[in-house]
Amino acid sequence: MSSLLPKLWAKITALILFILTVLLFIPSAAGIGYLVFTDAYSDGGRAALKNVLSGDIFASSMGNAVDYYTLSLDPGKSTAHYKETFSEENSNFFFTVTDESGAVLLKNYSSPDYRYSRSENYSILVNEKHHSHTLSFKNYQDRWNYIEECQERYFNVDYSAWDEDTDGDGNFECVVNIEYSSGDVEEITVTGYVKDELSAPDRFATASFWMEKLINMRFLLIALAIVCFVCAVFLFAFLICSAGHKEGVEGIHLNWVDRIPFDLYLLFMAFALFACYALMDELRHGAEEIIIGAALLVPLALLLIMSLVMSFAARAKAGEWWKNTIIFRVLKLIKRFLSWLLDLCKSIARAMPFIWKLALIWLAISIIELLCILAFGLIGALLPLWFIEKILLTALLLTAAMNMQRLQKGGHEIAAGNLSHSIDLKHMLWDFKKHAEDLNSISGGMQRAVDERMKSEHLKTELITNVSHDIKTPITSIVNYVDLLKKENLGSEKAAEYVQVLDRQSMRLKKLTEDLVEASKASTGNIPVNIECVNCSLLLSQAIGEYEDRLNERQLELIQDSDGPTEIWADGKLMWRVFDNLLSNVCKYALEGTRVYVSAEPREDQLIITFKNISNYPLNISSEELMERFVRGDTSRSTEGSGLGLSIAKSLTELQNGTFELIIDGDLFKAQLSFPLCVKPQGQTSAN
Amino acid sequence: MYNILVCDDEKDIVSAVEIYLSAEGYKVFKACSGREALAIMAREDIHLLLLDIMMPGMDGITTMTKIRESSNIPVILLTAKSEDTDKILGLNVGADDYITKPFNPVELMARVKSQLRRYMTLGSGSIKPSVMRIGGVELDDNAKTVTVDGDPVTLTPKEYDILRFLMQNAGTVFSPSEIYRRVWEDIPLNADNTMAVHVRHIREKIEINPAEPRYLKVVWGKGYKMEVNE
Repeated sequence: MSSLLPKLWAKITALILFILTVLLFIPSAAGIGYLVFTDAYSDGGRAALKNVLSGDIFASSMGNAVDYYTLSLDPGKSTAHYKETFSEENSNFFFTVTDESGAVLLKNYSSPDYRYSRSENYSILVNEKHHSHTLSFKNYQDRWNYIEECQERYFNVDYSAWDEDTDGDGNFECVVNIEYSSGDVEEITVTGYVKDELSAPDRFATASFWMEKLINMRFLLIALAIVCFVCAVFLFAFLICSAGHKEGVEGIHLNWVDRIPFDLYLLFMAFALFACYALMDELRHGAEEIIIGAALLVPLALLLIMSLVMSFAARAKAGEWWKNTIIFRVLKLIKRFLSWLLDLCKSIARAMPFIWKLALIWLAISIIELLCILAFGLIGALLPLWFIEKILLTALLLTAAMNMQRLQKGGHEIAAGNLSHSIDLKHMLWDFKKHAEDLNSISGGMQRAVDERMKSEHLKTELITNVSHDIKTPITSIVNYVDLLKKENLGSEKAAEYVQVLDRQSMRLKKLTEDLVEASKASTGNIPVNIECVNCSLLLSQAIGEYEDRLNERQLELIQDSDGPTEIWADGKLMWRVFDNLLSNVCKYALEGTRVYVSAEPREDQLIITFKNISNYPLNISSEELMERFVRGDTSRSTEGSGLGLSIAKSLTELQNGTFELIIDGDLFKAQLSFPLCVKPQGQTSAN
Repeated sequence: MYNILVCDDEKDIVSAVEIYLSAEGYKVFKACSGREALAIMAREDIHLLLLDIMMPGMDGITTMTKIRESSNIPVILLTAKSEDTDKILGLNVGADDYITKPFNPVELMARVKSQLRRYMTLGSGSIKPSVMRIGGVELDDNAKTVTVDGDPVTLTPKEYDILRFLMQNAGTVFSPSEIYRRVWEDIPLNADNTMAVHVRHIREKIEINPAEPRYLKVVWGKGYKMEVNE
């Protein structure tokens, strides 16, 4: 069953069947209703049949009989048509027309057996004459009186009234054009009968034939109605379930109809249904037109309703159907506009200086107060007092606000690191003044501490630089003499080995001193930084080119990957030293025969440069520790290197306003740098 | 042979340098202070001076300024200061080269030889129109040869083309793609990496210390350039 749900042919079949069952159900339900109304189920339909014979058809036949009699009074007119209609062969209805005394004036035929008869009195106009004339009156009252008089005395009165200057004297007269008939009124009684045996093929015979059919089918009709109803309910349920499913599409599929805003769709459907109804109303005057109209319009209306219901079902299944309505969108727009307005107000309030905010609020409060005072009529002696109080309070408040603003500015300056700012103490109120003095002494104290710190940092750098200069001279001697020793014939193999060690260690010492000076200068910012727009991808290629041989030596395969814009704000020389340190690290600590990944990719307005390699040694220390000076990946410290490389790289990166981050995941060592891009990805160009 | 004056307050360094220089056949004069160096300069016919900057009394910079008043012999500064500003200062007041402590004896010898050769043999030689010269680097476009301080250097054809292009446009920075386009006359593909390797190879061949090139410089993040004649 559920496999049928998404099938298009199943849906169309179900829709057609649904319309058919509803079309069958409506007339059978109407028939049942009529039969119940006429008690056909209790008396076998006798009352219903009698109802049909004594109803509209009987009344119209009676009317025809009266017309027949009226026509027969006028000798100039032929009654052949009526004679034919009311002959025994053509009519099951016979009648007698009698006057007040009971004398028969007219009859067609008579029969002893009849099913139903009824007598009715009629007043008819004989010797009828038609009048029409136009009259003028002096005033409206006279005209009305005349019209009323005509209505009392004559028949079929019809008139039209207007004002016109008929005699040309400049005054308007009241004019009426009146039409009426005059004649004598004759009272007659018409008695109509319906023959027992409906032998003639007239309307009585047809009506009773269909009525009897209906009565015979009365129990079958109930069964049909029930079956149709059940089928219709089942098909309806099937259609609702299948709504939103499409063959070959998982989940709920919305077709183009379902994407129309729902309220718009509803409005369109309502309009279409109303058009159907109006058309139906237009067609109701002829029996054939009613049938054709119903046969076309009822299925159409059903189709429209079903499409609406199914579309709604699909939308409801897809969830949040109300979002696809024009009302919702309009409300959303309004909400966005309101929040924009609120933001605007907020940012205006934020941008306004404190003193203005306070003044505005104070002004508003004062105006409200004044209005209240005026409204309650406290004008007398209180008003001047109120004004004096307001003026005094305003002065006090504004002074306090001004003080507050100064304090605020002072606090802000200290927070921003501008410690030399001191708050102006002029015109300060007592408590504000004390607070300002405290703030000033805080900034003074901090300034002293910062100065001292700067001085000690500077001294430290100087010390390291000087000490390393002094160390370099003896190292020069050591390096040179070790080199000379190597060239001497030392006679013993051991001696040669020892010289090798001396050579290696003196080289390490040399490198260590160089790194130490560099690290100290980098961490204190004692290096000139020249920030410009450099092509990072090119820089990486250049740096990798420098390391090609060393990487090959360790059988490291380097994979470089850069994508998108790679121009960054940095100092090319310092960047090279950062990459130099990182690549040298890779050569020293990457596992031989593995791959090394170097990538540069833009993310928002930053370029992320990543170095990834597999460590030769287990990295059982945290990335923070690894960046500390003199900490090295191999705790044995057996390899070359000072343990300063990463620290230098980090300091140099930070000097260029970049960020440096180490990520250690098992044996995966990852250094991630980020620098601001020169050209923002969305196309905003910074000055170069 | 040539006379070389070595001036440093550290006697061990002077002795070591003397051993190396003597082994190469130079005659070495030793001085422990700037004053002594000036005295020897006045007395002897010195062809090259190795001068330490940080010395008690008269320092290297002052000594050199004095020497430059009367002589234009090559001066190589020995310095423990590795900052760029010190090097620039040294070169500006008249040094021909510098070498930072602790130095590698091989590098020292190479620099000494280079300076001597340029000073003694090449200094005033007439230059043929097909020859380009920048510092000690000489490129003869007719003979398709390159010499550095007189020593022939073997370059691959591409390396030769790159060097010639950069020497023709000395002082200008070229991006790898630009060099590739002009030298290969082709659309640059992966030019950055290709050029990085080629330039490093050229540097290894023409520079005494490829990590601190004097002629063919890497402009990080921009490209490469050949220095103009000093």
